[in-house]
Amino acid sequence: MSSNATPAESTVTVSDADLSEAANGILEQFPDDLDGDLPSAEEVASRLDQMTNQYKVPLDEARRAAVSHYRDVFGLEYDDLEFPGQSAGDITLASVDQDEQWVDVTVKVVELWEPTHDSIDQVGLIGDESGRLKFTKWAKAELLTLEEGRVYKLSNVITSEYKGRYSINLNSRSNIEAVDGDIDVGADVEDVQLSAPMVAIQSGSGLIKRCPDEDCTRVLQNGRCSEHGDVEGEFDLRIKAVFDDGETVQYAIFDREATEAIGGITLEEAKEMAMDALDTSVVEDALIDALVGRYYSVEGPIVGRYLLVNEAEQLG
Amino acid sequence: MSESNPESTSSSTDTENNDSDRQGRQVAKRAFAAEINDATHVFKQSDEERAPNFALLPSGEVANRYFLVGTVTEVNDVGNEDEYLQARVVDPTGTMFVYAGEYQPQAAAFLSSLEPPAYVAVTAKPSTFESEGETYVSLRPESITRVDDETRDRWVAETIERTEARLDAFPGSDSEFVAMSRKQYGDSLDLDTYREAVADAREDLGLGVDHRSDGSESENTVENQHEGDDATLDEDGAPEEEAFDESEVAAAVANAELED
Ligand SMILES: [Zn+2]
Repeated sequence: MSSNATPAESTVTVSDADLSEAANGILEQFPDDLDGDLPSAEEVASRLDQMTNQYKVPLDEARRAAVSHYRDVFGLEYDDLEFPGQSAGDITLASVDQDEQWVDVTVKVVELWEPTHDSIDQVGLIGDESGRLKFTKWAKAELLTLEEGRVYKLSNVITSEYKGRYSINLNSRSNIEAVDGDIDVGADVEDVQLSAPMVAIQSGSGLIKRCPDEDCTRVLQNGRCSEHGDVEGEFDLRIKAVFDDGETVQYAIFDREATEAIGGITLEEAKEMAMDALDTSVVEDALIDALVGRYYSVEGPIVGRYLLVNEAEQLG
Repeated sequence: MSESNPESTSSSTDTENNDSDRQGRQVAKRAFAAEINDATHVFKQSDEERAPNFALLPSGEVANRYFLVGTVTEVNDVGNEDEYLQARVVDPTGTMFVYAGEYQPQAAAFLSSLEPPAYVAVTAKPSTFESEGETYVSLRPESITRVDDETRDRWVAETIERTEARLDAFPGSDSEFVAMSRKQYGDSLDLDTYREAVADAREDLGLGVDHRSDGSESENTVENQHEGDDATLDEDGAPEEEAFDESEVAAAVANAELED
């Protein structure tokens, strides 16, 4: 390439290998889901070649100018770009201690929760051997659907901090890659234990139905999944509880296992109850009668607003 | 409610941003009947129509809701046409009145089938009504469940702790609610009443007065006040309750529903 350049007064030339590496580096900064095709690496390299070897622009400046050019072409904001240089690379969840840091993590999806907003595609809890964190996958990122219990390498995800608690965000710059194998998810570093009466059980507790789509599992409202419409739901048990010690309020979620343990009722029994009454709400009512107003010791990680109950015991 | 809560705006990644029900849920305060029934000043902290009501506890805190455990001794239908149930809920210091009508179907169903005496746990919102020139506190249940004596004792112990903490903090406090209590309740404010209530609660649990942090002093205080306060303490007595105009009670309480 340098052969056809204007004869240089300077002897500085940039090799084809360096140009190619720089070109690929630039392309990686752009999201994969652009409205329009990304230029090829050759095109970018040729642009860099022109600036460096023909117009004597230092490579760094040529790189900056090329990024700026393609940003204009695709109508992207500076913030839409990835800067691999800022990424902390592979880290463990427990070591997350900065807001807005780009990281790569290899994690198991511990739990998926129902998204509370259309802009959220999936939300839940991910874990590795070091601990657990909440994650949010934004709908506009259009990423692979995560499944509970599976292991993934999540690259270019960004940390976020709220009230001293960290979470992981997956956006359009992030990548998801399914990984074989399992992870023994560690106890959360943020496990808390509290003793307080349960003052309320919120609606949406008891016998619920989830979307049967294995990539979805949203809780159905009146037989409808917000994503998949009318579906034949699959039964599940949970409790959304409010604990209140007179000074602070703590929301908690009991999953099926925790609900069966504290409520003294199995999913099968709950289904029979509902069948007899021709109404699923009898299960929620029974749980309210059996549980609200008593004091408990509960333990689990706090994720967002919720304590995810691992252990619960009524205090006699 | 969410407007006044700093949590609701501070994070764009908070997934529950739009959940105003859970946002800023008010803590359920612990207080004994002796104090709850004296917390007759109910106010809003903002002009917003949907702003929550707060009852001003004489000990200098506010309560949008209470969590309490007591013994239901009696349930009466005080409504005119529609059922309006009044439950007498007794703790070691006095009697509270819990009302449940058509807007509290679960509580009403629970109370109508309850056979007193029974221990119950109640999460309730306070409001007041006037009858023959007096202001009375009524409690509107959000939930009411049957519990055992151990839960009841645990609540009494917890409420002793919370009440003492408020009373201990009162004298030197610059809290706006302590100032408000002094202003609102003025001459009728007698915190010794609640010290005495705490002493009664301790006795109920079989605890000595010396469990208090400043035990030696409290023993004297309790002795000294005992005689003078008998009249006010005895709120459980028949006279005031008989003075209720039951339809007025039902109407006043029903109106309070609509405020929330
Ligand atoms: Zn679905």
